[in-house]
Amino acid sequence: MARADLHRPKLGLLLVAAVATCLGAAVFTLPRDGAPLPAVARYAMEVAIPKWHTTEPVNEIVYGTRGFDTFGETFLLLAAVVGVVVISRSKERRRTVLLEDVLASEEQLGLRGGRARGGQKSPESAAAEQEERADDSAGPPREPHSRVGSREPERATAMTVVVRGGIRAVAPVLAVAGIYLAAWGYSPGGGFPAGAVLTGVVLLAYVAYGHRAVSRIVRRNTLENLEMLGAAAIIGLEVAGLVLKGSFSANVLPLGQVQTIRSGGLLQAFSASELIEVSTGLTLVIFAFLSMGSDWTEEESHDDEHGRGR
Amino acid sequence: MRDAVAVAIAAVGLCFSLSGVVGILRMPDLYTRVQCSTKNVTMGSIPVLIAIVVAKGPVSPYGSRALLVAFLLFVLNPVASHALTRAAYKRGIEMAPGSVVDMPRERREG
Repeated sequence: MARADLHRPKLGLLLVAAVATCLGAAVFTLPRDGAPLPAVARYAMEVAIPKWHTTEPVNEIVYGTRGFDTFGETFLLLAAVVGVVVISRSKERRRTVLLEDVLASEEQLGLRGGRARGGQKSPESAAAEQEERADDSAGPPREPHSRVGSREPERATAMTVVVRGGIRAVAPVLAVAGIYLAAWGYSPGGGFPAGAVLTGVVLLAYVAYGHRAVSRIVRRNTLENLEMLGAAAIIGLEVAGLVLKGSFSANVLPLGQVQTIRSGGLLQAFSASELIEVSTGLTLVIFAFLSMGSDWTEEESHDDEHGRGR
Repeated sequence: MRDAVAVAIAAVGLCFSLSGVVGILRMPDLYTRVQCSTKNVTMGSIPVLIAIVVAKGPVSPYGSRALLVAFLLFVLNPVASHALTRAAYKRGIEMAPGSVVDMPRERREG
């Protein structure tokens, strides 16, 4: 009995000691102040100010010396976005009638053991779906109207006033902070983290106001076009270096004064294009997943329209 | 002097963090645990950020960023806890046995 009681504290102490050892070892093997830099870091420090007029060596590496890597990463992300959008796209409007759903319905019925199972819904969820379909196009987002204590399904499309108020206060601050990350070239990474922050702002708005309210503002077509614009800008900038200076990702833009918004030349332009590319790409992916939903055919309406000839 | 004040404020934050961690481990149900984790951020992290502001000054590069993060945490942390707890209550997650107040239920029944 005493042994069982001691098991948890012993195990806890052992784990804490192990973590403490690892952290201690890490702290004591950190490079000292005067330690020599690795070659890549030294090179970045040496060329950052004279060649690029930037005081952020990380950006010099990401968008300058290693611009080709970032280029590859960007288009990997683009390919992933295209993949997700293609897989999750909703049914397209058709010009011709193929009737494959009607033709396959007999087989489907056999597999599912009759319609009832496939189409069975609880009355509450059916009513909620009906409601959702009814105000698909217009109207302000619905607030939670059911009382906190009740057990009925939540039909609200927006969250409570606490959440909406908090997010309304925070979202502008976060959006400005995100753009700031990329606009002044001092923050490591520039456009990549800034794009992720802007996606976070869109997600916060989605959480507070619901999918439909946000999708009225964040339109898929606009996002897709913006993303392609960002990608085209990146290709243009990089190839310009190849054509004009004979080297991919070489600087072709005038360098501004150090520590101003225009310092960094091509680094800043690349970073800004990256901001557009990453924020629109991530938002597209998230909204593609969110709007997947169920995409079943309304069998009744099809029967009315096309099944008459049979 | 300035550094001493900063260290004192950071120590206050650390104490609240410690008590919050103990609370998360020891509290009996979700609602009380959420309360502890909320305190961890509001009274644990924000004093540390304020300590940075005191040590470096509010308009310095470090201080201004710390203020920004403190503002975001200050607003978003209660909002997140509120949404989490509300969803938990809607899902019907029970309070610990021996809880004495359940105002929504009293309102519903009374």
